[in-house]
Amino acid sequence: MITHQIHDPRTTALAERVRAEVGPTADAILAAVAALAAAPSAGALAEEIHQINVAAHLLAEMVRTCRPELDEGGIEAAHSRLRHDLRTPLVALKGYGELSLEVAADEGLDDVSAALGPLLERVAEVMVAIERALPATSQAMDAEGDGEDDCGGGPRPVSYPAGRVLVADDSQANRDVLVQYLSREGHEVVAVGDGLAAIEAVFERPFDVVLLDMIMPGMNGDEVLKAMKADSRLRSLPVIMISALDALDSIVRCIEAGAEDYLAKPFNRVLLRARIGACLEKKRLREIELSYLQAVENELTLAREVQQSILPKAFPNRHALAGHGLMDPAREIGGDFYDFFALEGGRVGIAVGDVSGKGVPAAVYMAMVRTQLRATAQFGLSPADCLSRLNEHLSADNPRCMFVSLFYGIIDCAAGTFTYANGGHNPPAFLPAGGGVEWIKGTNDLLVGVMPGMSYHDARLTLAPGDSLFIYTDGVVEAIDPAEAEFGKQRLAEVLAATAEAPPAILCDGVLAAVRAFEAGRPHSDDLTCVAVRFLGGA
Amino acid sequence: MTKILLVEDNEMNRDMLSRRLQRKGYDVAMAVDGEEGVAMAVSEAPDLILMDMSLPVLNGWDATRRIKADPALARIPVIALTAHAMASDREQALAAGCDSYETKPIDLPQLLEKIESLLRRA
Repeated sequence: MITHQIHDPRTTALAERVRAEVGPTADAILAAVAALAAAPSAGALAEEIHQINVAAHLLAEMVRTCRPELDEGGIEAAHSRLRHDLRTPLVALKGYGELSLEVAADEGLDDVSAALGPLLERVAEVMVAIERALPATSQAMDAEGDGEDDCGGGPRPVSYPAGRVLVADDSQANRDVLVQYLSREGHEVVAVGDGLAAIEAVFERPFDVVLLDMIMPGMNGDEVLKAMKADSRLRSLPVIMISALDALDSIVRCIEAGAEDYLAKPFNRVLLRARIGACLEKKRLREIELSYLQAVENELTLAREVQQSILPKAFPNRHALAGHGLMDPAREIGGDFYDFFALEGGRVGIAVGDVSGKGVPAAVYMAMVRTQLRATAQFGLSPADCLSRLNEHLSADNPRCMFVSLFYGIIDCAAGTFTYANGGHNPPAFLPAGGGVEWIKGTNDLLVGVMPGMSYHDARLTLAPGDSLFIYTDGVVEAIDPAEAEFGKQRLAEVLAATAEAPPAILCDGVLAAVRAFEAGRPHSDDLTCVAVRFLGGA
Repeated sequence: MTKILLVEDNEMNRDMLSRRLQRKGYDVAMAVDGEEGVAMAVSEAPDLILMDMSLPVLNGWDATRRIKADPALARIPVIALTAHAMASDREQALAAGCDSYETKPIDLPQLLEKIESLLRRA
């Protein structure tokens, strides 16, 4: 390869960084070697100490005269060459250093051992210093490196949450590597050496993720995995299998058996970090999701309570009248309501409404509509005037653009009349005493609260004793069966015709039962409201 | 006794690593280049091979490929030794057929662990 030598300020900066980062430790190694050579029993290891001395001088010299060159490989290749060159004397320093330590220990050369300790520490330091000065720009680093700085080079790594990690691997070296690396990432790590110990550990204390070696004495990783997945408490604990690269078959089996992911040996730090991080992140999101769902559920319960609490507890006591209402809420509050209230002159007001939107806003708006309607109704207004006034109030200050479909009528028991106005609500059914079902005709004006200035119109029915009214919300007719078909007005009419003679409460229950049967066990998608009133007359 | 073939051109490294392995109770045979390494894989019938990657005559990758291509030798585990610590080196070594990989300077306990684990598997 032809090397183009380019003078580049980056190489000067690189050389300075190497001298600044590695130089002091390289000099400290020289001092440690001098101390070693001066040990009284150094003669017994003269050859080894000589090699160590040569390597130490070579390293110091390389650092001092470091002149990196740039070629077409760029700064990354320059880093790589320099790392390679600087590690060469380290091979001898570390190798002969450790060899000498073994020999010295065997032969009781305590003074040599004592001098070798600090030397080997300096050697470890210099390896870290080299990594710091020449960060590997390659994306994947070997796990067995000594303290590579992961922040060097390329993009900053994503930060992952810290967690509690169980490592189960029968190899002490693998355990050490994983524990050291994961602890440095901020995880709390427990390491065990076999499958049974792993089982004991997961039953004993909580973990966020488990790293399981595939092959372990006693109980293999896949058996541990099976045992964990068979236990309801441990089923959701993510497991990452550790395996040799060539064991793809068994990895696939483990993933099918519920393992979250796998890691190949030898460990790749970046993958290890990413996989552990992904597991923890997934777990964290699942927990956030659960707590959020819990909060939503609490809010819905509250809204449901608001909704239920404003419904009338009983129908006003009138000899000439019997009435009943029910509201079956959807899982997510729909904003239905009904109301009965006594008015002057023995009259009774009856209202059924369905507020736009769902959830807490709908429940609050519904409470407001109900309160305003009751208040307005007490002024002796006709239903149409009442709706007009309510419409002005509601549309005047309505930033969320909410509205209500509202049917409001007044039964005058003495006159035997039902006067009503309809603000965009489903037309109620009229059930004459002689049988049959008719949909109430007449007025159907605009939804209440949409815009000011709307006019509403009264209509009137004359009631004979035995006549009934059935007022409902769209939750009845728009209920769907498992095939997504709607319940519809036709079915409602059939149910009403069949139960027309029954008391109002039975009538309402009959409709609810028919809708539930139609839905075949599925929950309502909307609130469902039924109100039945029968004019008894006479008295 | 377990026999390890150490293929390493650097005399110092060869001396050092062979002595450390012998101290751990292994029988160590030595080759100084890739060509000799392949020949001794046949003649010495080692239980495991430690293969430096930057070798003269025939480099470690090619030597490993030849060993792994020979049905009589393919089962012998090969651990690559390289002075680089780049991920690409490991991938190249594994691609050449090496069963495992160690960077220099060697971490002896870790290397021993790998040797034993490969011998158990073999």
